[in-house]
Amino acid sequence: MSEEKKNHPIHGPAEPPIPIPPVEEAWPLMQQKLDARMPVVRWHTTLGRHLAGWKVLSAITASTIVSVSAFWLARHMNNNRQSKPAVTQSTAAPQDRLSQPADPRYRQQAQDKPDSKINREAWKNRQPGDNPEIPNDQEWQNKETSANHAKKTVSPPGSQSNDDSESAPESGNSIDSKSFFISKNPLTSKNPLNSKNTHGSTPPRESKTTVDSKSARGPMNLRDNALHKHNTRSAPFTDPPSSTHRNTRAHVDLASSGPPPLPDRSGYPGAAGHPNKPGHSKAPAQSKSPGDRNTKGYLNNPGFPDNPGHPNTPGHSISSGRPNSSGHSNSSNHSNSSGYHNSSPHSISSGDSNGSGDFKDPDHAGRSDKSRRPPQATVFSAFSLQNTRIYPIGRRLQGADSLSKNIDRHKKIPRAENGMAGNDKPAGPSKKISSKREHDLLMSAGLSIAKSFPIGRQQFSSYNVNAGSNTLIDYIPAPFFRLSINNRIYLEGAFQWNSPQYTSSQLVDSSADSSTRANYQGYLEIQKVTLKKLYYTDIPLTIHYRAFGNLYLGAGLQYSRLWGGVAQENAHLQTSNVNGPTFDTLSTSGMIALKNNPRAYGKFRKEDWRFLLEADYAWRRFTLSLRYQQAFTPYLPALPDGSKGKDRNASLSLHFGYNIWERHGRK
Amino acid sequence: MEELEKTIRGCIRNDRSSQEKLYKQFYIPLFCMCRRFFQHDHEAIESVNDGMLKVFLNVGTYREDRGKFFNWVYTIVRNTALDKVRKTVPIPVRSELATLADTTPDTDGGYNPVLSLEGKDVYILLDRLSPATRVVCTLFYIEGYPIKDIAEQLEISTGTVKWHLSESRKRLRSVLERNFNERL
Repeated sequence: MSEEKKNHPIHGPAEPPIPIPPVEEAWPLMQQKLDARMPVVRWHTTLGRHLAGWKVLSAITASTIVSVSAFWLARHMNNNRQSKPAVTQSTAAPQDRLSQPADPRYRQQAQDKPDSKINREAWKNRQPGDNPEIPNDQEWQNKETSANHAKKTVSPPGSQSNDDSESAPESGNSIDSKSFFISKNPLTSKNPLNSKNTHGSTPPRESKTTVDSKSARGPMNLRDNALHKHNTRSAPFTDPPSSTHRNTRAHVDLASSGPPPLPDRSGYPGAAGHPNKPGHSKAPAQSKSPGDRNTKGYLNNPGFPDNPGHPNTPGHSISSGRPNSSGHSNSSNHSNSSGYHNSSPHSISSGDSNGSGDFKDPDHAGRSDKSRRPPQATVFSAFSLQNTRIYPIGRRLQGADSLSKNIDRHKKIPRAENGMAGNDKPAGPSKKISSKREHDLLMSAGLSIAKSFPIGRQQFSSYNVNAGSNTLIDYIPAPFFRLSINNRIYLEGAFQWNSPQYTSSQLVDSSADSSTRANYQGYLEIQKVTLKKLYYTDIPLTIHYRAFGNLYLGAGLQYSRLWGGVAQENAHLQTSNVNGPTFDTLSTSGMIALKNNPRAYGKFRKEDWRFLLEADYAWRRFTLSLRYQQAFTPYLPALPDGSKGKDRNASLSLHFGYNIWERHGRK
Repeated sequence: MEELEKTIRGCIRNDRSSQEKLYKQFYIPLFCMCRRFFQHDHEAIESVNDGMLKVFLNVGTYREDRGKFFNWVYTIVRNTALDKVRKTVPIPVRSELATLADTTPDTDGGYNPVLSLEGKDVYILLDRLSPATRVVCTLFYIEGYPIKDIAEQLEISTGTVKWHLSESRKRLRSVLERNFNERL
């Protein structure tokens, strides 16, 4: 036998001796065999076949997560390294630390500290006759109006709940070496409404002050009324140690303070009073004390609202060594009922409240109470010195913007350094921005393409919905819409018109009938439809939460509607004579669009609900998502043998999206 | 030949167009060969396709020193068809009748009645035989296999082969005498 047999009349004549089926009918069958055994290598076919294994997918997923985690950790560590110098610098600069207490947490902690040494001692030193009541706002206003010249404008303690003087005992000022908390001056807080009280009629009170060795100069004895009556410049209690502290001076109604001598009066260089301002005492020399240095540093902080020279700052003498040293020596006709209740323990309210006093603050004289009072004036009523740091504990002052800036500048001071526990991270400018953005809605829309991979018993199929070989239709981009509630959570909805769903080779329909083909009338023709692929229209709705970095985890629901599929239809011819020679041979086989076989297509469930689990990595406008979806119900309710279908749609797909449109909105 | 080599190289690359070209080039002789083994066209097509699949799978192993390419393909397809015959066509064992047919093939002096027939007549005659006798007759008279090889190929005894050959002559005798007035 040789190649010449091709033209042999028996082996292969040029003209076939018998009718031969056309080769066009035989080649498709051959092609199916070739596709099954020798599929044409395409890049996506090869990729899909290799990615079909769970191991490969698991490895990719794990490597992605590990790489993202490593990236995030590296980035986080870099951030930590960069933040360390800021902490060190902040520790070295005491005046910078002063900006911390604007945080209400600090104030609250100082107020609520039950074991505060200051409060305990102040409470112990509380006089029996001390009136714990605090005049309300209206009373203060009345008093101030009657006084007609106020040296200071302060907020009434009752007007704000954060007034430290409310929580502090009124019986005296106490100074802790560590925690410099000065309670409200009892002289000003007590009986402020007694406008008719004269200096002499006012029972002498002694301000009991507990000071430590560093900052205290001994108990402060208030001067008698007579002394202050004519000696307005010799106030022993001084303003802050700055001559420019014009408006920050406090006035002391010494008439109500009783006649104690001033043992350390001569020790204050500024005891003669303010050189430029009658009735003002000069800044004492307590700046030599450590507390004063801190105070000075604090006062010299230009951003601090209590800075000397701040026009709106009520009178404070922040000399830690002289808690009661603020004030001016008032004339004798000043009653202690002037109503100048300075909520600040440093500032002693002046006694020149009757309007006829010989001292008038030129800055405040003639102003009404309302006008003199800053709209949102807040007095720092106390300062907490902890670890040689000064933390003003009080309310916001007018001009607190600069304070806020200062606070923001020192956002990186850890709270543990301040001895304050808390899990809250310090806020900073960047945090403020991000927190602002957190309240913004971000709407975005874009397109994404998806690539599904067969999982489990599913088989890869390279046919499209029309049983053709062009699978480009499987990669039609799907529009999506995102709504970012904040920078951690966003909702996403999408519409994927064409979503291929790989399935296992599931027998869908099988029917046997007598063959109608020519020459095969006595044969039984069995037609089998085997499912290869389904096509759905998907509408997923998911919610995503940022786990860390740019990695989001999402979950949601998806509504899917079946609109097509691909199946393999095989026709077998079988001899109907069981006694004779039997054979079962495949006559025809081919891929068909499932809709072309209504009998088989009608057996599928048309609607499908699925749950989604998703992991997204977002970078700028790009998003790479790995999505797993699982249907709740089987796609084939009944199998050809009558049993109940069990296979449910499931897929693992990779989505790559791009935000085309973004818009910020307000909540 | 260059075109055939180009097609072969395309088949080695699993190029569908080259495979289709080769398939269509050899389809008719291969179908005719298979058709002689089987009574129906679809069986013959299936045998051709199974054989050609083996060809395409192993086309990379073909070497010219082994013979011409068509012979290589033809052999593969024929063996595939015989495998299918062996699996699907029950060949009755007629050992007891083998003695009766011992003289038939060899004692006829090598006369081959099929060679004197036209192509289509062969198929008409073969259709009158049973499947097993048809296969044995085809192998012996058309393909030229010796009895021993036929026995080995079909996994039957030589006596059975001889009996089938005797049976084929007996069936064809009356037909040939009536239609062609020839003596077998």
